[in-house]
This record gives sequence, C-alpha cells and structure tokens, in this order.
Amino acid sequence: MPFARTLARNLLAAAATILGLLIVTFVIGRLLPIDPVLAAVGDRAPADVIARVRAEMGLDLPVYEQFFIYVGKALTGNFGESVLTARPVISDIGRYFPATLELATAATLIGILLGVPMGVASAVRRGQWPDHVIRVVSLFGYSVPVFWLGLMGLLVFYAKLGWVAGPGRIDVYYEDLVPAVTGALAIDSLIAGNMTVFVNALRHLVLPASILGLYSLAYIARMTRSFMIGELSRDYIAAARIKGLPERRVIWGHAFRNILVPLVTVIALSYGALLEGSVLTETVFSWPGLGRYITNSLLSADMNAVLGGTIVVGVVFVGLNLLAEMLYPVLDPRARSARA
Amino acid sequence: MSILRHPLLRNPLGAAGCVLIALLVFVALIAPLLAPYSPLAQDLTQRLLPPGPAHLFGTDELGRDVFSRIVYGSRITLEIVTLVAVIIAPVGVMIGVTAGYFGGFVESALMRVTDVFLSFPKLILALALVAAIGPSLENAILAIAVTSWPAYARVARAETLSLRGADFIAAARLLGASHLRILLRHIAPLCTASVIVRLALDMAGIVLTAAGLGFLGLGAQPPTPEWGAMLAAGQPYLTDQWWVAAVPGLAILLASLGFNLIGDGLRDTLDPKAGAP
Repeated sequence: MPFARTLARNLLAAAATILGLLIVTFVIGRLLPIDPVLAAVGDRAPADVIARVRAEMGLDLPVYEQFFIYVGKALTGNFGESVLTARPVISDIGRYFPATLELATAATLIGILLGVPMGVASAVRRGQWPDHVIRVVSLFGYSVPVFWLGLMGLLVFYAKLGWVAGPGRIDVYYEDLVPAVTGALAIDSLIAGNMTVFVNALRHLVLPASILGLYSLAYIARMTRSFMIGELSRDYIAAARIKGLPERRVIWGHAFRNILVPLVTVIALSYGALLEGSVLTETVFSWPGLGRYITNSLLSADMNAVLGGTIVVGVVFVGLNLLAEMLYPVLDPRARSARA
Repeated sequence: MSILRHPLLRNPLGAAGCVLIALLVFVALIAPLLAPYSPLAQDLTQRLLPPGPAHLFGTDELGRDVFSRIVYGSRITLEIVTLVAVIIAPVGVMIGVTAGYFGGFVESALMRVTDVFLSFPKLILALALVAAIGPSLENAILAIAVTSWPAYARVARAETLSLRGADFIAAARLLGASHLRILLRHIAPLCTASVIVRLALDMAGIVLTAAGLGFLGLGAQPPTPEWGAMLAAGQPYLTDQWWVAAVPGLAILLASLGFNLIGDGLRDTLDPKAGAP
C-alpha cells in the first residue's frame, strides 16, 4: 500500500515541522528581555506576590515541563490573552483570519487567471516577443517590494484617479450590514443579496488583491512556462501534430492537461506564500487581517498575539505544503505506484 | 579582458543585472563624494521640498536631502546582504556537507532539522524573532540568517552525496586524512559553485525581506538612512509629497531587480536547456 505509506510519511513530516515550529516559538518566547511576571505585577510588588504569580504562570517549573505545558496549550488553541485587545488570542485570530483568506484567495485567483495563460503563451512563443514581455513582467513581480507597490497603487488609483476605494476592507457605514457566513465580505454580501455592499467590498479588495497577486502571477507564469516547455518537447506532442491535430488542441488538450498536476502543486505553494506576503500588504492597506494583527501586536510587544499568529500561519502553511504533496498521487495515477 | 567575455555578461539580462549591482557597489563606495548633503543633517525650513536642482530627489519630513540618504542607504543594503551571505553560506554548507558525508543517523537528524526550517513561513518567523530580541539592524540580519540557511544545507548535501564515493575522497582517506580535513579541504570547496548560484538567486529575497523589516520598524532604526524605513517615514506624506516614499521604494526595486537578473542570467548560462523564464 504505497499510497498509505506516502500519506503516513507526509503526515509524520508535517507533524515534525509543527513540533519544530512550537519549539522555535517557545524559544522565541523565552528570549524576551521582559520578565512576564514583572510585566504582570509591576516591579514594586512584594517578593511573595512575585513568587506566587511566577508559580501561577508555571514559570517555576523546569524548562522541559514548561515546554510540554506550552505544547498542550498550543495544540488546544490556547495561546493566552492578547495584551492589546484583552481577548484570548485564538478568538482574535478567528476574527481576523477570514479577511486574510479573502485577500489571499482573491490574489491567487488573479495569479491563476492571468499567470497560467501567460505561462502557456510564453512557452508556445518561446524566444519571441510575448515571451520577453512575460519574462519582464514576472521579473518585476519577483523584484518589486509589495509595500511600495501598494503605496504607489493607493497614490495613483485611489488618491489621484479615484478608481478604487481606499484602505480598509469596507467603508465604515457599510460595516456589519451583512451577516457573516464565509467571512469573506464579497461573498457574504452576495449571499445576502446586498449589491451595494458587494460593490463596495469589491472596490476595496481589487487593489490589494492585484498587488499581492502580482507575486503569485509571476511565480505561476514562470512555472507554467517551464512545465509547458518540457511537455511540448515530448514525442507524443510531435505525434499529435503529425496526426494533424489543430495546434490549439495540441496545446490545451494534450500538453496543458499533462502539466495540471505539477501546476496544482505550484498553486498550493504560492497560496501559502501569499498568506505570508499578506503581512506587508495588509499593513499598507490597513486590511484587518491576520498579518496586520501580527504587526500591530509586534509594535506593542504583545508576544502572545505574535506567537499565536505565527503558529497559526505556520500550521496553515505546513498544511498547504502537505496538501500539495498529497495532491500528486491523488491527481496523477503514475505517482501512486512510482513511489513504493 | 577575459572577464568581459564571461557568458553571464553575454546574456543581456544578466549583463543588465551586473551593471545594476556594480552601480550599487560603486555608489556605496564613493557615497561621501556623491552625496551633496549629510544623510542626517536636518533643516526644518527646507522640509518636504519637491525634487529640483538643489535637491535632486527633494527633501523629507525633517528637511534631509533624499538623494544623499538614498546614496548612503546603499551601504546599509550591501551590509545586510553581505553579512547575511557570510553567515548563511558557511553554516548551511557545513550542515549539508556533514549530513551528506556521514550519512545514516547524522544525516537524518540534520536534514530533518533543515526540512523543518525550510517549511517555516520565513518572513513571519523573522518578524517574531526580531520582536523578541528587539528591533535593530543587527537583529534583523540575524533573523534573516536564521530563516534562510536551510537552502544551502540542501544544496551542499546534494553535492556531497555525489562526491562521497569519489576516488579522490577514498585516496585522501587512505592517506590518513581526518574526516574534518576531508570535509573542509576536499568536499566543501567543491560546493562553492552551486552555493554561489544559490546565493545569487537568494540575494533579491534578502534585500526585500530586509526592506520589509525596515518598513515595519523592525530593522535599522531612525535616523539611519535604511531604504525600507525611509519608505515607511514617507507614508504619511504620500498624497502630496510622493517622492519621500516613492524614491526609496524605487531604490529597493532596482537593487532586488539587479540581483534577480544576475541570478536568472547565471541559471541561463549554467543550464542553457532550462532557458529560465
């Protein structure tokens, strides 16, 4: 049962990574120059109070015991309370995560819808002008600092031209008008049938999603191109052409179908990268997502929130990598038997 | 003479990248000659002036000359890139070479750790690390290094696996060379080529991460003319004094583009078949 074995091996690897993540965040938490006990009771508290609070926080236990307690708490989603919002970190994350997912999903869609055709065109017209244009676009997508592009986008399309709405997820007077179903405002407003809110949400979403999507466009286009070049040089493509199939069918019906599997993997990986990339984009656009939550907490030294957010992003990231690995044998029958 | 015929320079994009980075290094070297003003000198009567003959890129919110700050900022960018490279390449190579050479348990343990670090979200981890040890240029460099060494361990291990069984290694063993000597004198030097290519490909990412940390206030602290921090400082004046934020961003873009072009060009020259996109 090679499939079950691959599954078990991948799950084990993912678990090891998450354990590693917990070790690293635990160590980072210990590196803090601030004594959490003193931070809680103040430096003028009597010695017995300090000792009692220390024991309550479990800080008098040996380090390894503290670590086990930490892992136990983290696995049950208990990341402590945020100093900034005075709510449990996990409920904060629950509030902010849908906004990040909405942004990253929209950006990935832009990346797929533009990146895949661009990559295919680039491979088919290899060495000709479409290839060069697309190469320059993808180099730009890789090289540009997103936070700068975001600011310039706001300057041109919001401040000067007024084509899109400004920072934030929705205008203040539309807030909380539609019931949250998916957490993505653009979808929730459609479900509620409220077109005004939908248009407003879309006007807010389009600029940050395009700017974040540029990276995934660059990545997807580049990978699609190199997969297609590999596929188009295979014998069966020559055979299909000799058979007299129209070029369109050779490209989309034969070559493209065969690169779908590695392409799905690439898309899953780029989605994970976008979750991370959203930190800077969200900061620029005041997008109320997890990235901005983490950076806001950073600046006020709210470590529970920072580490909780880091763990959640890390787990989703690892999950997406796992998914990308697992999709291979599911989508491609050859990969099932190849790995024994 | 012969360096001008190097394949990297015949590749137009690679050559463009080399020009950009040569320019960056040149500007950093002669910064005091190039900058008309001190990068730190404030003049509140001259604040937020538009670009003009007196101030090529205008002035910022404290009346400092943006051009002079950009010029001096190139030194900080190069410092970050160089220090990160100097830390991650040897650390990664030593780990990878050790894993590949000894194999067995050592290999599984080291590569397991490498894989774990490789599958972390790098930026977020760097953010959390800097938040804990305190924002500063040195800590930002450290955080980037901690999150980016695994790729080098991978590369070095792959190289070592192909060398482990080579005759010259066996010969060195027969001559009584110690494991350490074989690792350092025979195997590690042979990993240099692939490590340099990898570094060239990673440089742009390092520039962008460093600028991102600076932008979030977690890198170099004011009044240091670090490009990311300058961009963040210009953010409030975006609508009316766009140059304060726009120019540093452009500088970051050119630096990271230069490194990306070199990385691409190197890949093209080393593997013409792949014909990098």
